[in-house]
Amino acid sequence: MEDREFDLCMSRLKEGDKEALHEIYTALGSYIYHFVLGILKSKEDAEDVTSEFFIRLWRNADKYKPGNGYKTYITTIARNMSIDFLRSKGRESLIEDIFPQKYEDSDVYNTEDMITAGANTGAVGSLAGSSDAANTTGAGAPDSADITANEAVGKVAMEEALSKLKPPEPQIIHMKFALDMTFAEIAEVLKIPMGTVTWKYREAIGKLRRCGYAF
Amino acid sequence: MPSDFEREYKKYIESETPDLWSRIEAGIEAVDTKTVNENATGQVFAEVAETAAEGQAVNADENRKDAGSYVNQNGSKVIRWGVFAKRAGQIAAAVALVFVAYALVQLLAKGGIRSSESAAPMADAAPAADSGVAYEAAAEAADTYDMAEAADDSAAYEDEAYEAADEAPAMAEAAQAPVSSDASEADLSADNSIREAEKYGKNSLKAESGAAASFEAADGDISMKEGTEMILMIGDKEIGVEWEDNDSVRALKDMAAEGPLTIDMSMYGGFEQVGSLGLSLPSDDERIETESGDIVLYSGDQLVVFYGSNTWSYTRLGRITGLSDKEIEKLLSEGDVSITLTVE
Repeated sequence: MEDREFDLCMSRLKEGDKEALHEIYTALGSYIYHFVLGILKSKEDAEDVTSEFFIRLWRNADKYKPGNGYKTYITTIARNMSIDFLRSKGRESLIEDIFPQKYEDSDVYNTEDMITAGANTGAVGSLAGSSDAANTTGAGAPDSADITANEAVGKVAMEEALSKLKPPEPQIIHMKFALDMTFAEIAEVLKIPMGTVTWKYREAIGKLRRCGYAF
Repeated sequence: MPSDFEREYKKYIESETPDLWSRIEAGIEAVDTKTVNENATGQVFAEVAETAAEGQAVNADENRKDAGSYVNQNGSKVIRWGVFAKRAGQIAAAVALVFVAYALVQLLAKGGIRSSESAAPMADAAPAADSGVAYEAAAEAADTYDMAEAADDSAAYEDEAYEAADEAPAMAEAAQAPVSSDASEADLSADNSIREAEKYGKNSLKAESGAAASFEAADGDISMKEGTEMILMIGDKEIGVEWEDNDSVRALKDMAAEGPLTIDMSMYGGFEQVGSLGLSLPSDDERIETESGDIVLYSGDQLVVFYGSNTWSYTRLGRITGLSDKEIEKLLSEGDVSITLTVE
């Protein structure tokens, strides 16, 4: 969902247009749910917080200021609601695991090493040198008779790959790939330096590549 | 064959998300019901307050209706002819402006000097119509409050018209674009409009429309207008840029003119930040050895800003000014940035 689209939906929300909220939910519901699930680690809790997120969006539509980009806005709200939820349940320890307060600057390595992967057509003509050789696991070209089996295999493979990530890597990957947020936006939400975000992202990409994914 | 992570990930999160819409909808209705109940309570208090104020409101209305008259000590209604005459004059001025506006439309439709000649008789006719209309308007205004209220509105309109007359020369000047013959004719039309405005004093509406028409006639390529500048921001920092004068920059400016254009850049190779524009611009690639601060177009649709050097085939777009190589490197080498282009 583009920024302008979201702003338009929010202005309709202010007028009491429920359909606008449904559009936002359709576009962003899975993003919010999985972001929250990554923090709460419980599907029931994630459902509660996600539902409350959209109800709160409806209730506070008049407080939204358009024109500043919505991704950081909604992610920060979801983050804060999740933290509040954990605190209300006495599970503050999880907060520290996912959002560590301190990242040493030494975690940020030489900028020459911080070559970002992802969709990037760099100006040296090709990206051939930037992708590592990956293990060739995963399903081959799907045949119509095996789609369901492939989907199941894909789900298991994905869960196994994601389980290898350590916080805040799953959050960074989620924000980057599910909502295409910039590193600056991710850094703002997670309240960590942007250099740390790019470094953790690179590490996460490396782990996922070793699980057989291409970028 | 490695599978594409982004595609697989999006598929995964979509499939693993429960449908919460009915739950959300129920929650919204609960919120709305609570709000309605709170409003209903407030409504009762509001109605009581309104009834108490009604008596005072009736008296206020009566006084307003008789603004152009009063009841003297003998109980006779006295009409203030002076007040109505003044308001009638304002109505007449408004009617004259309407005639002038009509003449202006005719002028612009036919274009240039020819139309101004035909408009002159119309403008001459306006003062003549003035006194006759004023006389009739005064008589009508003596009977109804509505006419007086309309005169107040027209007075405000007249004030706005005077303000527009002051602005018209500036508007016409801003609208000038030395490119096409259509624009030149429109400028001439605007110049004539301004002269007419000065000649007839109250013909401000004419000047405003003339200038506005020039603006529209010269429109098309906003990048050609004088006074528009493309601003580049890296993050929230405005950066000075000396832009090239070529079709690529003009096309980029057109994009930015439609609203702030934000491009998510990514660091690459240790010497550049690159980001997709989302569509292809006109390009004229040549082999260039870039330097720190160079801004180029790569492959027709990628914006590239350098903090180091590289040699490849690019189209030049511009160059950062006012920053040293070290400052540029610090700005661009510490992680991905967002670049925003706006036109002011």
